[in-house]
Order: sequence, then C-alpha cells, then structure tokens
Amino acid sequence: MAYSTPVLDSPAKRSGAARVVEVPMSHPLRDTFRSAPTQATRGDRVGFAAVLRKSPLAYGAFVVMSLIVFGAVFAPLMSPYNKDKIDLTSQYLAPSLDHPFGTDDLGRDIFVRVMHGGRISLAVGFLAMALALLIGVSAGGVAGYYGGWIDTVIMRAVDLMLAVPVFFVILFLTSILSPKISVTALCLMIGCTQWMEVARLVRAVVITTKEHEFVDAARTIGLADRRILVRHLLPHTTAPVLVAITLGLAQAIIIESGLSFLGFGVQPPTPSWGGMLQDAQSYLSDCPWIAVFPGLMIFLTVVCCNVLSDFLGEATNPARSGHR
Amino acid sequence: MLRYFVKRLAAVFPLVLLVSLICFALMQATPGGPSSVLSDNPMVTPSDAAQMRSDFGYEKPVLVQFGLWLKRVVLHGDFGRSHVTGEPVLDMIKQRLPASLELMGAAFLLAFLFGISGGIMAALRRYTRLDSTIMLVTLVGISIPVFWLGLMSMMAFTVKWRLLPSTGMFSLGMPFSVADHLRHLLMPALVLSLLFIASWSRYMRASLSDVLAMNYVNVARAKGVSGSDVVFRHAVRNAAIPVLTVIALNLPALFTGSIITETIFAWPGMGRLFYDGLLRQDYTRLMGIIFIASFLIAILNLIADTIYGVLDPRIRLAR
Repeated sequence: MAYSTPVLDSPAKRSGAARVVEVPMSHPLRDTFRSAPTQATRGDRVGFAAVLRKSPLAYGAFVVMSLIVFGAVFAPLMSPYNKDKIDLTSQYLAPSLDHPFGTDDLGRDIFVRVMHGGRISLAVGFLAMALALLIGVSAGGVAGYYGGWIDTVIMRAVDLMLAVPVFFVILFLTSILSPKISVTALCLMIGCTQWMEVARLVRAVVITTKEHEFVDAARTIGLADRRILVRHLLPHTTAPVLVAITLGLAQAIIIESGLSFLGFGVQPPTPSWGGMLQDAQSYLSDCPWIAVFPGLMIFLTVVCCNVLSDFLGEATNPARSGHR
Repeated sequence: MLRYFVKRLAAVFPLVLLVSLICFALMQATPGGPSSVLSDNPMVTPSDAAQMRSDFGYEKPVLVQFGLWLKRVVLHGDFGRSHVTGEPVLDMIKQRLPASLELMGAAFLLAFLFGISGGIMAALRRYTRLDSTIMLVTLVGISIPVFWLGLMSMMAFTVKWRLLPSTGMFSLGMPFSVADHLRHLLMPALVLSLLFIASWSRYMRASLSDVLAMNYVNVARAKGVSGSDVVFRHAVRNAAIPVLTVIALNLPALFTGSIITETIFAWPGMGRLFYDGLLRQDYTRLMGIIFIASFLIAILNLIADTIYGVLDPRIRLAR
C-alpha cells in the first residue's frame, strides 16, 4: 500500500519509445540503522548468519519472525488447549500462567488461537507473494526483454493497477464470495493485486542488463529468447526482488488481516489475527488483552518483514553499504 | 502546459471506465445475479422479482447493461437505486461524501505537515539522536495496522484516560459546536494519518539527503547562499518531486484506510456506507462508490501531475 516506489504517472516516463529506465527510489526504511551491515566483497564469502549478526535490529527481527513462523507451523502440536473449544467456565480471564494471553468471550485460550491465527495470516501472506512473484517476474521480464508495444501494454496495466483503489475491489469480491471465502481465494485476490512492484523492478533490471555483451554472446550462440531471459537475465533481479517481496509480504499480511477484521476474511470459528480483533471490539473497556495480543502479532510480523527487507536491501546493494 | 494537462487528462479517464467495467462484470458473476437480494426476500413474489429485474435491466447482455449504466451516470449522474433501501445511490453518496472528504482531508493535512517537516528535520540532522528517534517512530508508523492502532488509541484515549470521544462526528443531544466536532475528528484523523506521516517523512528524508549530496547544493553553498536558502529554495524543491509521486501513489491507500477508520470510529462517511453496502450485498451502491472513489483518485492524480509540471520544467517540456 504505502511502500510502492514512486513511478506511477511520472510523466517523464510516459514518453513512448524513449522510456527512461526506472531507477527505484530508495527503500522507505533506508538508514534505519546507523551502522550498515558489512558488505561481503568478492572472494571473501561471508555466510548469511555472519552478516546478519552484525546488524542487531535485523538479527532480532530474524529471530522474532522465526519464532512466529515456528509457532504457527507447530501450533497444533504445542497447543495445551483446543483452539475452538468453548469453555464457559473460563471466560474473560486476564493473562496468567495458565493462559499467557488470557481468554476470550467464549473462554478460548488466546495464546493458542493467536498461534493458530498465524497459520492463516502467514499462509495467505507467503502464498499470495509467491503468486505475485510469478506474475510480477513474468510480466516485468517479458516487458523489459521485448520492449516495444508489449512493454507499453504491460506497463500501462501496472500503472492502472497502482491507481485503482484495490482494497475496494477486493472487498467487493469477498462480499460476492462471502460467506464461503477460502484461503485459496484470498491468496489469489491478494497475489493478483500485489505483483506490480516486482514487475517494475524486474523490468528495470532486465532493461539495463540486456545491453551487456554476455547477452549478445548468448544470442550469437543461438540461445532462444526464453532461455536468455530465464537463465541469463532473471538471476540478476534476485536481490531487488527479494527486497520487494519481503515488503510485499508485510502488505499481504496487513491486507489479509484487514479483510478478516472487516469480517470478509477466513470465517469463524477458524481463528485469524484480524478476525480475533474484530471480536475484540466489543470488549475493549473490560478485557483489553483480547484486542492487544492478536494485533501485536500482526504488528510484530510486519515490523520484522520491514526490517528484514531493509536489511536485505542494504546487504545486497554495494552502493548503499557504509555511511553516505 | 495546457497541452500537457490535456494529455494527462486523456490518459486518466480510460482507467475509471475500465475499473467500473470490471466491477460491473463481477457483479453479474454473483450467485443469483445482482438482484438475488430481491429474490431471496420471502415477501417478494417471483413475478415481482422478475418485474424488478427487468426494471433494473438485468436480463440484457452485460455489455449492453454496462453501456446503459454508463450513459445514465455520465448524462444524468444517475447511479441507479439501492437494492436495499430503494434510495438513489447518488443521494446516498452525496449525503456521506462530505464527512469522508473532511476526514481524509484532515488526515492528509496532518500527514503532509508532520510527514514533510519530520523528513526535513531528519535529513538535516542525519545520524543524530533526533534522526534515530524519527526513524524509529516512523518504523512503528509504517508497520502498525490501522485497525489495531484505532482500537488501541480508543482503548487509551477513550476508555482509560477519557480524553476523546470514540465514535461519531458530534456529541449526541448537545448543540453543535466546532470544538466538539474537532474533538471527534482528532482521533480518527490521527489514526488514519499515522501511516502516511511515517512513510512520507521517510521518503522526504531519503530524497532530501540525496539532493543535499548533489554538487549544485555545494555550489550554492560555495557562492555564499545562506544555509536556510540552500535548503528551502534549492534542495527541498527538488527533493519534493519524488515525494510527490509517493503521495499520489498513496491516495488509494488513503481511501482504503478511510473504510477501516470510518468503520471503527462510526464516522458516517463513504467508507462506512461502502461497508454497510458490503454487509447487505447492495451492489448498485458498491458500484457507485467504487466509481466515485476511482474518479476522485484519478482527479487527484491529475492534480499531482500538474503540480509536478509546475515544480519541474523538465517534465512539462518533455515532448
């Protein structure tokens, strides 16, 4: 929603054949940390973990994110309580050792439900971004490689998608599907509306990379366009795409929980972070913990994605490492 | 300048058309069609339902229907009648639009003021404690989901400290006063704007830092232009251009945020009207609102483009 790099409608870019190559503007989180992580130089291979450990904030984000994912994946094995079982003898219990996050209006343990809720949010987030990656990389790669009218058509579609109040349209769709909204449908809808950033980045990298001699060489030895694009050009897009996809993951999670919050996500009793927040609205004054913990999980996940995305950007971009 | 403006205008309107066509087609794909609300009502006899369906023109092919709908919208500003209340959709929107524009306008203003000035401050004091504080606060700001922020601030400001009212535009049963109204506006506007404050100040900081490192800034300094003149007359003006794109790109997000904010704070605007329409499957209303929202976003984008042209002659004069 908010992190798209600025290109839409920048009229300079609309000048037909002489399109300016879009150089994505800096990441919204640039310079969050005063000491940028060290850049591994050539011949001096440093493991991911070693680089990560140099940046405490990113390291923390990695650990927290791993914990959240771990909790979500193994939720069914670790739950001391049944996530959906209504227990009218333990309603509205404040956080305690028995119920670390308290219990809700139906006596269900919030900690257990939060872990299970993560399964929905994270699954939707990851799957939607996988779809967005697929669409974005193909669209951007084809647009950048072939150029001409193909490029114009695809980039117009990108501009269009960026200017549309996508959330309205998704809500409209979910209300048509409701109350039978499946995880698949959510992934499809979110994935189909989050690919534009990736497409723009991939296109920009492909346009600059295809001018290199090794591409001419590949063409001379008779490689097919598809092979040149997939095997020789797309690998160059890994770093920026990784950064965009991590930011996109945060977006997808926010959209999914926003939909659930409005009642158009995965339907109850299946716990989801947004859905739990919707229920919590009625108990704000007496039982704040019902609202605090599910929201905190969304917030933590999104912070971690944002920080990690920034870290990846810094770590993979030599131009940006070090002080400026 | 005029030619540039007209060209941008021509690029914007196909967009609104396409969005409405897509929604129109989706509406037809609903189980039982868009009039299922009518036929599901036990008080409506099948013959009544058929009559209404033909009144709404639902047996015609989708494209013909879309043409007719568009014709009515463009010529008469007629979005049809709500399936649920029977009111003309345009009247419903007209009633709710001012409240939405007020909320979004207030949020935009807050975001613009605090976002831009925060960004400038951070860029001028880079790598100081002020800068790190701003960066940390904005990290929270871009990461916090608006609905949770809404609930948390309600819990803090209304339930706990009893400082601000949590719902509606006015206190009920009290004579209208501007102060009371502003008190009601403050929390929703702040909640809606935080994301944009955070994101715009980050972009402003990045953009201004880049510009301040440019040679022409050094030249201006070397020639003895005073510090604040260098920053405000030379650097900020150039740094504002990419930030403006971000602002234009964020407009759909502002509308999205307003649906959620209006729902939480019971703010009687268009977002809430949309949400009610969703709950009641009132498709004519939803179509009308999506059309108006895309139209407004398109117009605002156009304004942003024009400001662009004014700020940067290179863009205006290109082709």
